[in-house]
Amino acid sequence: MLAKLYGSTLVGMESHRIQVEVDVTSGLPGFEMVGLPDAALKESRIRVKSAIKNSGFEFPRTKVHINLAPADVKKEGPSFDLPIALGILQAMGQLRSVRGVGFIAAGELSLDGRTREVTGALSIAMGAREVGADFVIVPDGNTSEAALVEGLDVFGASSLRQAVSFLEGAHAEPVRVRPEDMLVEDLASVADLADVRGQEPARRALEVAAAGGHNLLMVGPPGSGKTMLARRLPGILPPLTVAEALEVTRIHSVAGLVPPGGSLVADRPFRTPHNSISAVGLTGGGVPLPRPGEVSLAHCGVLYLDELTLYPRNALESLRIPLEDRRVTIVRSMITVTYPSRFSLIASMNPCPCGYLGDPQHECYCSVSDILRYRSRISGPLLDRIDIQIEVPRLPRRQLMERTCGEASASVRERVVEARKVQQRRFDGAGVFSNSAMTNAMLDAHCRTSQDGERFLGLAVERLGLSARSYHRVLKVARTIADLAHSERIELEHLAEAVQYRCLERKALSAGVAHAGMEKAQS
Amino acid sequence: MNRASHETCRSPNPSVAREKEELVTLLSLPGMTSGRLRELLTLFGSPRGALEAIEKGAAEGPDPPAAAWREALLSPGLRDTASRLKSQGIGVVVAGESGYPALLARIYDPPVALFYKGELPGDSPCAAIVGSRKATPYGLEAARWFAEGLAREGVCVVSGAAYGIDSAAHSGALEAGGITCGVLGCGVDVIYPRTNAGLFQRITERGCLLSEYVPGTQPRPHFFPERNRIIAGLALGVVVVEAAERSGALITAEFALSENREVFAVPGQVFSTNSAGTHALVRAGAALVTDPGEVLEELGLGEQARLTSVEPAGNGGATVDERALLSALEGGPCDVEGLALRAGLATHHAMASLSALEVRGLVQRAAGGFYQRCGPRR
Repeated sequence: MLAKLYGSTLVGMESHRIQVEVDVTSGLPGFEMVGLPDAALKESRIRVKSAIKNSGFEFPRTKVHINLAPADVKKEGPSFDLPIALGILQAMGQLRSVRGVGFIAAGELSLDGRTREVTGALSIAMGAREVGADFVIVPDGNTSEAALVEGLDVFGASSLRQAVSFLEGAHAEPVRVRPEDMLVEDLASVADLADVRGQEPARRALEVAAAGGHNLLMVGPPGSGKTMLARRLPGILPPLTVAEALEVTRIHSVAGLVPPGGSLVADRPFRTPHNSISAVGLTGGGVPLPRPGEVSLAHCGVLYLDELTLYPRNALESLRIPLEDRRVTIVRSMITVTYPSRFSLIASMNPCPCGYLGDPQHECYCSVSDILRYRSRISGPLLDRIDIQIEVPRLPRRQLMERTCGEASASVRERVVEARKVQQRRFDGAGVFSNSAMTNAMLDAHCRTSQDGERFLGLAVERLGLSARSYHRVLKVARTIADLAHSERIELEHLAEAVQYRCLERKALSAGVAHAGMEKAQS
Repeated sequence: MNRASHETCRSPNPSVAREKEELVTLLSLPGMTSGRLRELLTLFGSPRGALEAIEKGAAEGPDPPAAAWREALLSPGLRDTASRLKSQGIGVVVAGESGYPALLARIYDPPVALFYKGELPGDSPCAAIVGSRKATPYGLEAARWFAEGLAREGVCVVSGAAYGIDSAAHSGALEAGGITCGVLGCGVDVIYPRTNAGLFQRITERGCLLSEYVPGTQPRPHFFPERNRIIAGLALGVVVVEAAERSGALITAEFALSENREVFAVPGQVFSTNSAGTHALVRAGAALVTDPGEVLEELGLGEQARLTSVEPAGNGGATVDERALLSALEGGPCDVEGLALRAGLATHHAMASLSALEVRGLVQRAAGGFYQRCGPRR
């Protein structure tokens, strides 16, 4: 007998409906599967066989042929266990579905017949709605995630047995989840800016970075609080919208980061990959199907690279395209997938190899050429994409204790949200979300400044050794500062503050070092 | 001003020209130094004699042995060094020749020959400005200021063309329209440090780069102390701007002292390790200078020294915030947050005002995000 059901496979964040054809035919006992299954899928033979037996059903003692169609799409993962098992039971007449075959089933099977969660449940459900499936059956642990899709009935199955009895007509209520209700931030887990003593300029830089979606580089000696500051950025970014949260959840689900029973990812991601990461780990890739990299896992959130100079050069260079395009397209011989990657890059580095350049308490023993070599590990093009570069000084303890603790994240966030609203109105329909993503044409349209401002910028470029490219960066940051100040026009003071955020380019960062750099620029 | 030029390469007297070529050949031998060459010349009377002795194997060098020298002499190319130099625009002047700097000739072990690009200072009086490679903005500003003041009075500013103080001194002299001379620890055709390529170019246009090492010689650590004796030897006096306790600038100062040249020290902050060496010089008796006029007077070059203390740059046109920040800076370098606290300003307002002050050259930012007031701005 022949049975036809539907399963689903992931290709990047998209899911494809796959027809599972099962033919239990005469012949010696055997199990043949065709249609480009991967290793995990080929092994489903063992799981399906035991699960069927241990659920009190009978596994055919004849030949079983399984075809996964369309045959030219690579199928991946153990989520086909459930449709294959159901197909075998149906083909043998052990299952008589009263609910038709227009559904999609996904789930891994345990040897005892229970179901296990699969990755990408949200994508599977979205794909199911797109192709007009009647309903989906997923393991219990995936239901609250899959049910985030509106207009699709999602049923949970804790075991093969339960799935069978459901299909044979047992009563069950579809799981209903409203994304809006799930969008509850876990504020307790996010560090608060109020815990930071001193570091006003860095705090301000964080606020500007959050308000305009700018990338941020902090340069400072060890122990100056760079990581502490970075961890506080998610708390001042605006709360995720439902659409953003769904996108984040999809990516995290595909990567297997949504815990069993988990639903919407309501907090902005904060990713801190270790500096041993490869370019593929950062941007995504892998076989047989490319997985999202850290840049995509940080989508709508923060990618924090501590000790930027320690990352492999090619990994850092691979950041350039995701930073510019805000998505990553991974092209492999058989497959092309695209993951979104709209993230804020926060990076930190020491000012020199020993870390103590400019530290009032420690002598720095690095030679000028050591420092230049150290800094050159970060290429100009990458540095160009980091709008805000600040120095984080390390203060002696006595001085630090004189400084006050600052504002709480909540009130900073209010200003950030206000500034983002201004930007939303500005870029309505332009496909740009924040000042940092402005194109040059938009710069001309939205970043007009006074004559005084023009003159000041000209002087700053000349006297402080700012590059022509950083001119645009300064304008963008100044636009954000003006937005924070509810100012329609960019005033001189906004530009002047923005100039403060280009420390790595300036002549005086480390006198001798920058001086040599200037000579280079002139030659 | 009668400056030596490339013409010295082609001496009218053919025998002198030949002798010079022989000297260059001798200097091109591996491991040859001015001192060793002088020994050879005393032993064998003339460059020609020394060359012949080496060819015969009679001249025994400590290392490399005579065999290596002989082999090197036989290798093609070594003997055309002189003509190669001419094509590269590199001049040679040997001790005793008319263009050879007179003051340098008087030191204990003057270089047997100097290779140079550009024009030698000739009769122009020279003063050296030396200091730390990893200088503070204050040090750079001071070096620039002294260089400008000296160069404007026709003094050739001599330094080592390294990062930091050296670069600031050369640039200051060039910006004032004066002449400057960079003494290198490598061949004059080798650009070290690489990032100073632009500066090197400008120095050769308005002054000269010189070295006792045969062109093509790569820098070696021990060449730098050796070239410091040339810096000191060329100059009437040495101005040390910023020097840590064991630094090359102090070596230059020591050479200057032993050759009876003036040593000047520019004071720095008592907390600054970068000025520990200069302060030690003052303690040992070096003249403390705060104005290029004082240097000129001590060297007998300025008619009337301007012994006025440095006037702080005017606060013209400063806003209330800016004035508050400037007075907050009187207490010494400070980070942005501390300044904002002292001046009673919101941090982002303080940041904006600091940029404005910085662009106008009234304050400077040092490594680590610390601000300080600037020296006088012209």
